[in-house]
Amino acid sequence: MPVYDYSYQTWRGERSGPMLRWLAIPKYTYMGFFGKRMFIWLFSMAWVQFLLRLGYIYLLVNTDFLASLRIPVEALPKINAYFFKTMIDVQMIFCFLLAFIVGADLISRDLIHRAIVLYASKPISRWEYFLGKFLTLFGMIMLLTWFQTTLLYGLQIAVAPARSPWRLHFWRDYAWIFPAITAYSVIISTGLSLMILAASSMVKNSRYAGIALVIYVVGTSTAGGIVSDIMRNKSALALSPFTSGLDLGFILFRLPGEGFGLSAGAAWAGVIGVCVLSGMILKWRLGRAARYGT
Amino acid sequence: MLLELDKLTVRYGRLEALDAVSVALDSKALGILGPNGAGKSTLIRALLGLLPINGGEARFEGLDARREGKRIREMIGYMPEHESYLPGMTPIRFLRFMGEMCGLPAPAAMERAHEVLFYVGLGEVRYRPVDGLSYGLHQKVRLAQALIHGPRILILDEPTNGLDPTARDEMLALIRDMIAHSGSKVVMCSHLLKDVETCCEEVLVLKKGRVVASGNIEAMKRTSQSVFEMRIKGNLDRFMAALCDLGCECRLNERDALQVTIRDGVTPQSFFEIARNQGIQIRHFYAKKDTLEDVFLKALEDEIPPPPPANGETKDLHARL
Repeated sequence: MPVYDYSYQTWRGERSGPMLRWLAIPKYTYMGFFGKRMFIWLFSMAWVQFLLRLGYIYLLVNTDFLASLRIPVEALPKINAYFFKTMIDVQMIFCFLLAFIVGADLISRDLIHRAIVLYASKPISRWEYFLGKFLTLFGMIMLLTWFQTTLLYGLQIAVAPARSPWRLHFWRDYAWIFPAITAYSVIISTGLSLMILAASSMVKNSRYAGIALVIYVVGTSTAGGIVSDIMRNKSALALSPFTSGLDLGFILFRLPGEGFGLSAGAAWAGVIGVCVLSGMILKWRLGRAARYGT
Repeated sequence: MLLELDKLTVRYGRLEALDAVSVALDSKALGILGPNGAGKSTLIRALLGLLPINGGEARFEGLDARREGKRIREMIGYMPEHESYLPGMTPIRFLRFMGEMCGLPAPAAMERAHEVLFYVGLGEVRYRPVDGLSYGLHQKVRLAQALIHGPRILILDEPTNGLDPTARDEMLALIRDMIAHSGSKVVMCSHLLKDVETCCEEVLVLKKGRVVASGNIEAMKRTSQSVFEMRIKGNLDRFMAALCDLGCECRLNERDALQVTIRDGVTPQSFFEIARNQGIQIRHFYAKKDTLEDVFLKALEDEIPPPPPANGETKDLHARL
């Protein structure tokens, strides 16, 4: 439009399909967060473990180098399911921090600044709004857990020596690790994203959302422990999403005897329960917010 | 037809926010008027498909609000009443975001964001964080986000609320320009009658969830020309008493002039006869044309207590709203 003619012009061009418009939500949220120094610093720190384990995989196949250091290969921990499980577990620390910084802000910020009205007046449904917010956090957590662990897994397959168990018994001993990595990462990302989004939708100050999440995790872990001691039944530990999530990981990675000793049923029930509860809170809060604007 | 409501009922719990509202209006610029709690915002939210409709039908440009809320939201641009923004964003990024959510391709959203920000007068501040902008500029950002995708219908909820006179005039000029130069229709919710009168052709007056008046503003004004303003020299009390005996309503208006509302069957000729009989000079006389304020007050008069006998009726209109 010429600079001297600023009378109103309507848009007559094409519009994108209605199914993917909500993708603008994660896109612009990422743009916002990657412009913050603290976020970039934290995000970079979340790659340190990946780089260390990458170095470790590289070291294990460099037998000549190990020999020069006089370190026997047998003395070093092997790369197996436990290696990938612990990789994801350590990454969970960063996932929690990101949930605090990114997730706690996602809905509470829209509530406090009444931006929810703006979203509600756009041609996206309440469900798509939720999906946009969910994908923002889910994608970030998946990047730090599934993506990094899968990269390590792929690298291990690629660099494993010809006569190592990784080559000889891959289909029997190692092929199932990839589905386990995927399932465990999806469970962690979904559960954590839903919990922090539910907390974020309940309060207008994002700090309280983070605090609410901590109180919920610590509170349910304590309550689960007390109930379990009183009833002498470990299933009560499933009250805590933290305990059930960790134990589900051990089950998925076929590491019996590890963790808190929950049965597969109890661990699944604990994880699904917290997801359903968070989903119900979100449905109620987002419905209310779209109606009343706050 | 812009708006078709057929026994539209919306409830908040037990409260009937809209009580079997029926109206059909088609206009390029529609004003929705009403005191606080009349149901203006509820009507807008119901039309956008954000509130569940408890009974009746609501159609907006022929689309069913109950089933086609998303399609309605696609063709409208909504400027909310209260401050709504995403902190940390600049107006340009905020508008790009809103544009992409409305389905504009990313490059087009960027182009439109610049155009619209210049159009509403925010060209100079488009790279400043939206949090630091004044209330008036915020209001313009809200208008700009409603315009970004070139909506067929623009819904403005109290667009001049809280603005200083200069900013208010600018906002009204923008709205008038849009009505005049775009193919878009404008629906404007306000309790400021002057603003609606300035911008709109048709009006819908709501009170306690019901329609109390609707139609063309000019036609509504014409149909109620039964008010006369006079200044006299002589005994005012005696003259007023004689007019009251005829069944007229008399009072002094804010300009200290005698305002007489005649009942059916009484002609202005009677005023001159009374004046001649009482030896009174009528020095100023004109048939007062109703403003939207008068129309609005008449529509609401069942609920509004009668005005005080002395002056000051219209001055405190907003306080009574």
